Amino acid sequence: MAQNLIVVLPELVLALLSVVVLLIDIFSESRSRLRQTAGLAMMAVVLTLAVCIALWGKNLSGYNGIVRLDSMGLLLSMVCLVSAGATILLASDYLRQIGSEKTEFFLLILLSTVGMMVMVKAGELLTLFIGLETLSIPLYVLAGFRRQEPRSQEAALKYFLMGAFASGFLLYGIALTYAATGTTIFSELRHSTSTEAIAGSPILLAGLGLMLVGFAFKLALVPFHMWAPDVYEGSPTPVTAFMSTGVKVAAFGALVRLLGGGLASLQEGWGTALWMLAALSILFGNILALKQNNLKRLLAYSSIAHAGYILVGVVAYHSLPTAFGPWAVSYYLAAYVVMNLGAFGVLILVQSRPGGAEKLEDLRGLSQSHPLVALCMTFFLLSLAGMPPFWGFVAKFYVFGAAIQAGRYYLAIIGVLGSLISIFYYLRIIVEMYMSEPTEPEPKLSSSLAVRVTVGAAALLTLLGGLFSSGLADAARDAIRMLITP
Amino acid sequence: MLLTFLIFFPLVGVAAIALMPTFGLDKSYAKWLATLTAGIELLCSVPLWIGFDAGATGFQWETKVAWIESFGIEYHIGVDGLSMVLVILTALLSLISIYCSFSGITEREREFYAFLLLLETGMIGAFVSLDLFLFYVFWEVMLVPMYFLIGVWGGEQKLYAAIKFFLYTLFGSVLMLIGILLIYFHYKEASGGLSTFDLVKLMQFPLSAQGDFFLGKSTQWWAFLLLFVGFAIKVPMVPFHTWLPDAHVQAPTAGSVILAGVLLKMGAYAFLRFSLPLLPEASIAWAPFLMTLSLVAIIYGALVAMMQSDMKKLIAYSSVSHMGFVTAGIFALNYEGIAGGTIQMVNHGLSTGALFLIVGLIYERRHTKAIADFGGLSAKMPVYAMLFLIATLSSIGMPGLNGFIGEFTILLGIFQVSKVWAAIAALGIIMGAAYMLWLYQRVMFGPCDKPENQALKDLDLREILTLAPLIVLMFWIGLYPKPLFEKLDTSTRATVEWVRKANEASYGAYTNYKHRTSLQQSHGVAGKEEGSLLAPESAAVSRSDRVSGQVVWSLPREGGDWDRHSASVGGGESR
Repeated sequence: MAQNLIVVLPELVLALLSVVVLLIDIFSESRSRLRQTAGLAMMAVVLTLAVCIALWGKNLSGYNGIVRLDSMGLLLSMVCLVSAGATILLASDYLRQIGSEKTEFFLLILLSTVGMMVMVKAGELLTLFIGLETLSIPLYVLAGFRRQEPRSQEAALKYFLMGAFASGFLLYGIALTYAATGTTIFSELRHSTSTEAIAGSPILLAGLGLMLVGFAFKLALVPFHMWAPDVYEGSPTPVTAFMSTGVKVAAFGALVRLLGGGLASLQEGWGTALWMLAALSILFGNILALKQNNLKRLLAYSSIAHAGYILVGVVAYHSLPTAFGPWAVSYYLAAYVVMNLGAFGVLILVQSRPGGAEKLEDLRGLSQSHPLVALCMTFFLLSLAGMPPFWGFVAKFYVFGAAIQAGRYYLAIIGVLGSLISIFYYLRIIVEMYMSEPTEPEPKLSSSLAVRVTVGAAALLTLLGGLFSSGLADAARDAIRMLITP
Repeated sequence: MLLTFLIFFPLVGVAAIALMPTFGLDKSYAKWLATLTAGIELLCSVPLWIGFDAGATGFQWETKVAWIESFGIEYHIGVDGLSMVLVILTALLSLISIYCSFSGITEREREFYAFLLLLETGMIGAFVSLDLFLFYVFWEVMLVPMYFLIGVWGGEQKLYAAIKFFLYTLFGSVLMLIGILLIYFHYKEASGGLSTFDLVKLMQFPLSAQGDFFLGKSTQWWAFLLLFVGFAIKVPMVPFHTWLPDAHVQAPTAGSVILAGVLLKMGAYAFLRFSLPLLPEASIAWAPFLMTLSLVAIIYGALVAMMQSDMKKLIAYSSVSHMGFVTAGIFALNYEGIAGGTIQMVNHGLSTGALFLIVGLIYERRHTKAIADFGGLSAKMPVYAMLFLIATLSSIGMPGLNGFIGEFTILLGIFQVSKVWAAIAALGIIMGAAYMLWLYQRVMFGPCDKPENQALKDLDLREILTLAPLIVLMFWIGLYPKPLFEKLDTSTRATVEWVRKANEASYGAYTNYKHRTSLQQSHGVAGKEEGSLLAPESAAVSRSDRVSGQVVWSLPREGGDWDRHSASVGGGESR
């Protein structure tokens, strides 16, 4: 009993704290409620982080194996929490600027994070599904948080419909898988799919296919990506930042677990499907990003491509189940979250000036008016493009290294060619910032300390992560060892 | 420690320039801060030359610190003769390029000098890296500042040129990264789980009795191809050269000097440092192909240079031609070829660097680079004319100046492989003389009939000072190259020896090596004459041997075993 509770302790803490935050928020009569609730939510995140750190190194499984507490789960939970914390910091100002001072925002972020944390620790299909729903439903609301804005409404509706479809596919896939194997727990799945009769069953095949489609929708992998640019563009920017980072971490964490734990013996069919998804996402994500003039859309396509890179690591893991693949995936996720959040943070900074929008031209001459902000953005973009010495480079290095180790050379080559294409649109932003003269004297950015600190910290991490990646890499390696030896 | 200091000291300058507003310094101090930093850097690189032990094998001033342990990635730096010379060249050209920008750069000075210093860090880091991963990191670090230098301070089409430069180079380097990973994982497999990117460790892997290098032949072949694309784009070898004229024409003077003087060397250096030692069999297998490309580059670059109407573009294409000499020398795979290629790298850095400075000087005065806009300048600017002449003569390989030494030694190397190839390469020298002298004639002689040119001022002291060190070095290498050859001797010898050994072990005395076979045929050698060549020389004399009616020259140098390697390589089959 006690062990069961320990296994879900971080989720428990965060869920309880979010209720506390809600209660305080309801009865608060403070005039700066927004700030207060943001602070409380931040404290909840920090507390949960502390719990995760305290639990580091444990390898437990609870409730008969349906939830697992291991280093990978903790690591990815912490990454989700970082994403949530950064989103809260970025949002507090943003909400005031868009004139929508609703404190529920923070609560919904917290609840969604609980879902993410459940998902990355799931040891069983239905738990995974519950995590996914807990994650998604608050996000549907968040996407439509700018109610007066038609684009935001459109984003919410689209996200909801697509999400519902994805959930449907996933759930049906789970049901079929259960029908074929008689279990939903990963370790038992692995056992039963290793027998010839079950592995070849068409019901299982259909179930797995549907699950894959569900995941692909959630991760916005090409060709299931159509919704992503619209939703990313329409949603409030902090929500976009959260969606493009936290959700990916959660879904990839679950996918790695499913493939490594549950379906390790089914390499053939999944392998091909996965690598095609990865290749398509990398190529199309990058090519479609080339022509974008809206920064949010651009980053949306770039995040599709990044999902492709991460999937390369998953594919490598699937075809050669050594510790290296998931290590690379976790590491990439951590780096990706930091640099992507940073890029969105700069976007929020730029949007904070009066009349500031989100077009590429709005960054024109930023290096002259705000050299530090421009420098930070350059760090993020070069890191996203995979240039050394930034963190993104080391992450890509691991992922493509895993692919080469697994003998999937073509995936590595597609990956680097994709990065090559990507450099073009990242450079377009840098060109606007550094090589175009500002058309007129731009008004100063008026953003709070919280946003600036978040962006600065992310930039510092992006640089230091590349220079001193040893410690993190080792932590990630520990994480994966545990996964490999269940 | 010295090398670490050299790598990171320019960053101190960057930080100082970044912090200038904090201390209330006017932005006009940026150039002085940068000059100071680069000056100290150059001074501190001199001990490398003085303290370098020319006789010692292996690397000197080594530092090794674990960096990313789980991958065996180390911060491992060190120099041998080859990289030592290039580090000093980098420090010198960096200082000159900063000093030459005083009058040309008036906008966003702080950023400009910061980028130049950042670039210096990247370049020196790349030259001293002995870890493939570290090398790749520095290789890419060079890219970004250069991109900004072209893109912000460049000419009219700067954005196009900058992005082209960036994409081309990045295309090559990502493929190179895959090549590096390929080597890494094969080493890991062959060594039973050891992971390292360390060049020295990778080379220490024992050759088995069957002569199997840890990389099988087909893997080597692929790895070589991948690395080749990365390096060849940087050199640039035809057909990967098209980014170069654009980048050069659009770049500011300092950018052109660094680009021609140092960045182009990076590719050739990487062939010598990584391709040859790590992939010796593939290097030999690919050598005829690379030699062909090099010869094409020599001739094609010269022909295209001849037709240019823009001075910078002309010099850019002449770079393609001259770098063709360098790669041709390297892939002759013998002592003379590689030594000559290395010397020619330095020479090209000096002479082309000087030529770009010279064009930059006139561009600052007239804001045009078109040859047709000039004529008869020698009367108005005598000092300028003299310096231009020296640089031109150096570039075309006039005896007494540096270019001659390099090209001649390379020809010696190529000659041993094939007389036809040597003849083609020699043709390139003649064409080089043609286009350079024609350029000089059109700009300097004839009537000075353009009214804008009437009032041109001759060079002032600062401008002479930017050129002076290069001119001095040109004469020094041209008249007394011995010290340079000596410093390069051990590393060159080691490379040649390594390739020979790996190849011998694997193929059994070169029977499959077309290069060698062609040499045998072309010389029509018989055992007797080979035998005479095989005898080690002991006298420190300049000499000439007659082999089948062909003269084989040897430059004066001590130790006297100049010919031993080429001879033993050449004589492999007859043994």
